[in-house]
Order: sequence, then C-alpha cells, then structure tokens
Amino acid sequence: MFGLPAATVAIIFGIPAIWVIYTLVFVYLSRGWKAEDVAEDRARPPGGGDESGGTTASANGGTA
Amino acid sequence: VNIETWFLVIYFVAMAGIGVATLKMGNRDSEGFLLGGRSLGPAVTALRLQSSSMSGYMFLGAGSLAYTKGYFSLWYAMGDIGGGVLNLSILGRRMRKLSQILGSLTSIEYLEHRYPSRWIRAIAAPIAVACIFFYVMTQFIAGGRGLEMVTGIPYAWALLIAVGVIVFYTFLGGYLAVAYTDFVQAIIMLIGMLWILIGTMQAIGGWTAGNEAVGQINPNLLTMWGPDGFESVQWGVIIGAVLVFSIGYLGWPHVNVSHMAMKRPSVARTASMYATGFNLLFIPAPYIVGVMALILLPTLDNPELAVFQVADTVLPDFAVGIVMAGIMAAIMSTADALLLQSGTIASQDLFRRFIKTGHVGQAVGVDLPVHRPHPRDHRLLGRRQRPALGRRGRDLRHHRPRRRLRARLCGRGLVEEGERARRDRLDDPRHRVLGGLAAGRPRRQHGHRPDGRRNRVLDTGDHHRVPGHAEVSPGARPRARRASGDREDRCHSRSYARRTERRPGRAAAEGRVRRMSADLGAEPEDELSVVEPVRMDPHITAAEALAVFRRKLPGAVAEARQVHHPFWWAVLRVRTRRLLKRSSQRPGQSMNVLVNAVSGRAMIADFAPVGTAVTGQQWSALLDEHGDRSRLPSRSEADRAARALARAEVVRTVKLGMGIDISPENGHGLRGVLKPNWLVSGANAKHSATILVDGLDSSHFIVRVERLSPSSSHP
Repeated sequence: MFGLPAATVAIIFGIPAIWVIYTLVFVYLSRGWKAEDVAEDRARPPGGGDESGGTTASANGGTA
Repeated sequence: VNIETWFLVIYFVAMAGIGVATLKMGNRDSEGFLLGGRSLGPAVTALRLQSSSMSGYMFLGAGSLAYTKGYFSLWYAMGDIGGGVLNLSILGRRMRKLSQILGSLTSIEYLEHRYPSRWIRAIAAPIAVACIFFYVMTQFIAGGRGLEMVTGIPYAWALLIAVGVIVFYTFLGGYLAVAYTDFVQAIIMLIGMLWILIGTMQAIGGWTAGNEAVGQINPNLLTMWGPDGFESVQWGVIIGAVLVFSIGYLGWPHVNVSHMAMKRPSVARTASMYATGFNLLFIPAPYIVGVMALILLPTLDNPELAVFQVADTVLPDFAVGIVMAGIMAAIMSTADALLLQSGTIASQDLFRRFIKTGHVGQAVGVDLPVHRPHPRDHRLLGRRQRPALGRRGRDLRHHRPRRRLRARLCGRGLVEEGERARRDRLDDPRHRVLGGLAAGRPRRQHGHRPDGRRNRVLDTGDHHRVPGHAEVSPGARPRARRASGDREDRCHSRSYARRTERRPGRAAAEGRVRRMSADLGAEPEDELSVVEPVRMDPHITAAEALAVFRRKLPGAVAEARQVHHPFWWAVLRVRTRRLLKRSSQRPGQSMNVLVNAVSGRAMIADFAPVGTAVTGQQWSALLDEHGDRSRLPSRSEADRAARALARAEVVRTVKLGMGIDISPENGHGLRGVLKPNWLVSGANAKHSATILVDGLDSSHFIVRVERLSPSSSHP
C-alpha cells in the first residue's frame, strides 16, 4: 500500500491509531471533569474566611 | 526587499503586537505574568504546549533525519504524536489543581511543594537553568541563521533582530504573550508545513509514486529499520526515539507550565483532543517531505536544509514567505518559552528562593508574589517567627542564623516574608474568592513545649492539622494524610501518647468526660447555634503554659487564664471512585474537620474531639464576643469549607479518572466544639507580653509585646 512495505504501513498508521484510541479513551473517562470543576467551585466557601493567624491565633477568642 | 522578507516583517510585527496587547494582563500581578492569570482555554493550551515543545528541529532536523535515514526517522514521529495527550492526561489536571492549591507559580516550585523538600528546588533549578540556557542559545542562533537565510542580511543583524523580537514580547506580556504568540505560531507552522507537504506531493506525482522512486534509490529507506536493513536495526535507538518525544515531554518545565496556566483543570480534557489532532496533521509531514527530498533534491549538500529547499523548489514565491515564517515560528515558539522559563527559574526558584527574598519582580516592573516559606523552612522560620524575644530581650526576628549556608538555602528574611505573605493574602481578593485554597501552600508550625521538645502542626494554608490526642485512631486516618508531613504528625502523636502515659491523672480525667455521641438530637434551625457543643479540656496545664511564657520572657511574673474558642466540627466520610465506576463501593475513610466559627478557616484534626457537653448558650456567648453575627460564617458555609478542605486534601492522591465522594458521617451535620487555649499575660523587668498557648499542643502565638521603659514597674 502506498508503495511501502506492509510493516512500514502497519507501524506508521498503527501507532498513531493507538494514540488516537488513547485520546478517545481519555476523553471518555474524563467526561465528568467539567462537572467536578463546577462542583468544586460551588463547594468553596464564599468569602473564604479570614486568613489571619494560625491554629492558636485563630483560637484566641478574639484577643489576638 | 523580496516577498519572503515582507512576510517575516509582518510576522514579527504581529508577534510584537501580541506582546503589547497582553501587556496589561501580563503585568497585573505575578500570576498574570508567570501564568497568564491561569486563564487559558483548551486550544491555546494545546497548541502552545505543542509548538513550544517543537523547536526548529521540526523544520531542520526532522527533514535532515528523513533525508538520510528514510522512513526509519518516523519512529521519532510515532512517539511525538502521543506526547501531548500523554502529558495532558497524566499531568494536566493534577498539576493545574495542585499548583493552585499549593500556590506554585513555576514547574520546579510545584515539584518542591508537591514533594516537600527544599533540595528538590536546590538541585532542579540550577540544572534546569543550565540546560535551558544552552537550549535557548541554540534556538536564538537558529533564529538568526533562519533570518539570515531568508533575508540575506548579515548574521549578526539577523540574530539581533530575532532575539530582539522574542525578548520584546516575552518581557512585555510574560506568559500570556508567550502563549498567544505560540498559538499563532503553531497555526503558522501547521499551514506552512501542510503547504510544503501538498506541494511536494504534487511535484512528485503522489505519495505512492514518490515511495516507488525512493525505493529505487534504496529499498531499505522505505522500511522502518534504517537504510542498512533489518539486520542492522538498532532497537535501542528505536525505543529511545519513541520515548524521547512521548514521555520526554513530561519533564520539560517550559512545556509543563502550560498545565498550571489552564483556566480550569478540565481544560486538559479538551486540550488533549486539540493536541492529538495537531500532532497527527503536523508531525509526520516534515519527515515525509524529507524522504521525498531524496527525489526532488538528490544532490543536496546540507540535509538540514531539505525542507527549506523543497519549499523553495515546489512552492510559489509568496508561499515560501509563509513557510519561512513557519520556520521562524517553530524556532521562536520554543525560544520564547525557554527564555521565560529560564528567567523565571533563575529569579523565582534560585535568586528569590535562596538568595534574596524581597520583591524581585519590581526590578522588571512586575509585582512578583512574596515568597511563601516552604514547610521544611519552618524549622527555621518557626524558630525565628514566634519567639520574638531572645534571652536578652532582643528581637530575634532579625537574628542571623548561625550557619550561613543553611540561611541561604532556606532563604533569609523568611519571617518578614511570612508575615508579609499573610498580609498579602489577607489583602488579595483572589484568595477570598477561592476560599483561601489558592493561598493554601502547606506550612508547618512548630512550637516549643515546656519540656523543650519541638512540636509541629502542619498547616496547609486555610486549614491546619491538630496533632496528637489520646483518641487518635490510626484506622480513621484518611489516605491523604500520607502526604507531606504525615510522618511528623505520626511522630508527634506517638510522642503525645507517651506524654499522656506519664500522667496518670489524665486518663481518669478523660474518663470523666463523655465522648460526643452521634445522637445529639435534631440540629437547630438557627444557622449559628448548636445543640450541646463539646467543651474540650486542655491537655496543657496552666503551669506548662506559664513555663512556655517564661521561656520567652525569663523571670517574668505572669498569670494564665483559660479561654475557649468555638469551632464547627464536621465528621466526613470520604470515598474515592475508581475508573469506570459511578459510585464508590468502598467504605471510605473518616475525616474530622474543624472549622473556625469566627474566621471560617478549616483544619483537619487527627482526633475526634472529646469533652464535656455544655449548653448552646456558652457557644452563643463566645460567638457574641466577636461582635456582629452576620459577619461570622454560617453553618452551611462552614460545611462547605469542611468539604472543600477534605476534597483538597484527598485530591492530592487522586489518580487518573478517579472521583471523590464526600458525605457526612452517619448522616449528621455539623456540631460545635469549644477548643481550649491559655491566655498568658505578664512582664519581667524589660518587657510586657501576652501569649496565647494552644491548650492541646502548647504551640503559642505572641499576641502582644511591649518594651517597658526603665521607670515602669511590674504589673
């Protein structure tokens, strides 16, 4: 085919075909990623809270 | 001036124009300059990734290889076609998520945060800078040679023009300019290469006819085993050729920065399709053109010019200009990415990290972020940050470490930077929007116990781990805790357990309290009230808290007062789903998350809170101390913060295609916990201070320090 040996044709079309299949499988398996992005955005607390202080600093009863 | 030169002039002006257009966005902040504000969509991400990974090699080296080796050279293309999707599927989403959670701005910085060790950056950054330096030099030289070849101007001027344009738009617009120019360059490369391929096929009468003609020169050139036939095949070279451009992509910092700049983690999915599509069209073309050059240009002196000479032979003059622009695009797209990365690594990962810790970016008009100390650095930071007073009452925050080398590696001025970083995070609206997750670089806080041993709390930005409690249940530890700092937490838990054993009264005391039961009744309707919150008893005695104080202020007269702070307590069941599973069949792992009822910050506790059940009024009274209740995080907000933290913790270990389910343990919502602290105030002859000592682990926070005038007396 195309004036090439069969092995050459098999390799230069076969390996790219494997990559195409890999891409399609990846796209299929990751079909929920967009929804998860949206869910994670929603899960983030609005305002994010105060960043001040560490464990003890935040637990200071407002004195620090 | 020939038409090819005009095409190049238009091309250069367009690239510079993109640099100017991205000026505003690129200089907005450090993330804008280094990562384009994490705003890039799938098409730009994919084509930028591909074009920056394909240098002038595709127009020069690939054709040369095919001209001399025949179809054997296509082994390189076989791996290259899958390099983009492999990179995006393995690293893309994970690197995008974690780099934001960890606050990483460069690939090497990401590595240091992901696998906490400053040595990763100390070793990787110099290697990367050295290698990229030579790589970018070759690309500059190739750009100069290419321009000289096309326009005929002297090499020195050609080099100056090529480098000048690249430097101009790269430093003007930062990553965004690099990404958009790479995107345009990828399209130019694709058009140019396909044009050459089509022209070549027309010139030789089709692919089959061309192959038959090549076969007459040497039949082995049509095989995948090399010009000397199967008997002399080099399998090692073949395997290397496939791997170098497939998995090789995964280690290139100037390529992987694309992942961190994606608009969303899920962009990797769509980008993978663009990448594979681009590769299928573009990558085999120069190799095939190179093979066919054997027919069109059988006496070519320099095989590296095979693609260029074929284009000059088979294309009309105006098309050659586009092809020349394509060659320059291939060179420049790699050169600009390398230039930006080498500058970034040198400034961010080396100079800023280990040598100087100020606002380096201001030198080039960019507001680079304040360096946030690395977890391991808090060994140093912890020593210098909290105990503001030394033995002689001097300010230890400016104390010079004994070991100069260590100071350099750990970064000087971490204290000032840590404080500045915290202030910046407070002021930065992005961190508020993202709930602090973006700022959530793990950091570890160290405290000195009264017995002199160090005590550590791993703080991952907007959350903390509270270590050590007699109730620690190894089985309840989520897998995510095996991430950084886990060993220290375990060590601490064991040391705390040992300490507990030495106190016979504690077990009896804990026996008197009852554990928070799961059946506390209905949750109140009020978003800020709770039913029977648990008031924990301190594990640190007043004497120990005073000892902590006196270690900081020798000879001080002080008094300790027990205070409590309200926390929401969420017990979450975290399950992960495997590939092809829509729901988890596993029992999952339990995670105790405490959310500060005042600040809204969440932390993961390695224990289930235990204490005395008190009335809801005590909880409400503590909340009232903080003024306007409308400013406090509500129950639902605390719940979201707890879930977000649990998800962020687990996502570190997420594998390809794995999903995460988070649900309340036993279906119960949030409960209230009153966490104990000691507020110690006192003074010695020179200083007066107030220190807050954590009632659970004796870590401490200096609330106030004042230098007393000589006439002042003890309180």
